[in-house]
Amino acid sequence: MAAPQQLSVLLEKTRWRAVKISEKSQRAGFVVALPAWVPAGDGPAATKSALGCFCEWVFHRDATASLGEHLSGAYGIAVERVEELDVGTFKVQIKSGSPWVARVFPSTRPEADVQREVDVMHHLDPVGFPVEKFPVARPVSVLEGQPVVVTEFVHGSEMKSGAANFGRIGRLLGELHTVQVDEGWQRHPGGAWHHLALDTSPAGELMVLRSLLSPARHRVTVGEENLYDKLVAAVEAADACADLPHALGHPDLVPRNMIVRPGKSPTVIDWAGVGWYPRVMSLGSTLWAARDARSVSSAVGAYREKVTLSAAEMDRLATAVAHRPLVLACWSFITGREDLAWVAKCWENQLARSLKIADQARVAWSGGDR
Amino acid sequence: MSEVVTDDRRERYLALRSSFLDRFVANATEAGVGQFVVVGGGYSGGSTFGPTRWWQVPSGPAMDKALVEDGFQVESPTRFILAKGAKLAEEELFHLLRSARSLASPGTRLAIC
Repeated sequence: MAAPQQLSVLLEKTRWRAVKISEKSQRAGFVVALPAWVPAGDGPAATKSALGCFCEWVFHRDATASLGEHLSGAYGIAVERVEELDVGTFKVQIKSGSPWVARVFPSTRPEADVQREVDVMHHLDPVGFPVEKFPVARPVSVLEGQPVVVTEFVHGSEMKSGAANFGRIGRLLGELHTVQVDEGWQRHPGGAWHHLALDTSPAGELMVLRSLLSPARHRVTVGEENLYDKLVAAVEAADACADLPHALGHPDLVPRNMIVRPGKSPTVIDWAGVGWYPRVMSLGSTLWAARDARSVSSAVGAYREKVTLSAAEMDRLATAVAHRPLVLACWSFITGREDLAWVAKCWENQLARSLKIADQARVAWSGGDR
Repeated sequence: MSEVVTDDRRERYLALRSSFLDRFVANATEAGVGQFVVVGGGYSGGSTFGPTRWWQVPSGPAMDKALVEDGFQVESPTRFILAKGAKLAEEELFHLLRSARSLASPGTRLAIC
């Protein structure tokens, strides 16, 4: 019989992770484990499931235990502690210095794409847009084939929701959408949620979703086929507004990505996925985060001081607002985070909410709320 | 006398194991899991559950290949049951765990007793 210690080592080596079970079962030596999403590389041990491989891409970064050492070597700093904040995002405590944030991207992401994001932020900083700052002149390095970017840690707290703050966000979004960029940058799509896809547009995101929903049909339980069909139909019918005017956009300009400090302007964080994409999609994802009509109205009112949307953009605002919740619903099902019944119900509610938000936005745009 | 105690302990262990695995399977079927793989025997309680597919496979190399050839769907969440897993030699258990993991998709679980 394998001793608990031996079994624990075996589980780790074979990419399983034990979960908590009752004390009685533990005492009897029983174990329940779920897959640890660590790639095995090529060979017989490699994950055969396409969805499993996707989870490995999303949830795993190599050699993060040596991230501190890597940064010390690359930048000559004395790293005191490294703490994971989110998948691939780490707070780095430095001896006698301000902390940094290190973002480690999948090895499939080209270093040049991360450098491009750095260039965007370098472009925005001098024009007064509140981006994160870089602590060094060359903030991109490579750890075991994975691009790593470092920024200064932004002290403060996440912005709270509410009409006044959505006004600030709407204004910033309007400013961002009117920033002039050269044609070279306009070739780089953005806007995708970085746990689904990187360096692509909302249209590209929908293609990724379609490719993952196809194998996910095997996750559907008997009697729930219609829910799956509805979800697929929603993705098929989704409109990424690719023919509408584009602008430089942050993929998730919402309160949780705004760090505030008393007496200071907010700082916008989490720029992975910044790029050139339909501005109405960018506005849509911001409005989706607004919890009430006043917040929607406030965001729209401030945004329109900078940008005038076309009639076509206004007509398709509902689909733009509904895009991110659709992505999140599908992602939750694909990765096994939630069951299909929950996802379907959630999507139904979010679709209704998106339509309502779009209506509120149109009223605000026409000045009807004043 | 000691034989009786041993037998009694063994019976209690088997009852506990049986109840643990029944719960493991029942929770899975309730969540809609449709694939179950019992590796190396030791559990046969699953046949009463609804629209599920069951495999009883011997513990040995090439389990993954045999399962895939027999219609195992790699994208479907699965429950692997190693009812005698704790009795296996370390190397054999290692190969089984590795093989089962290669077949895992999101939502898959494994029980070892």
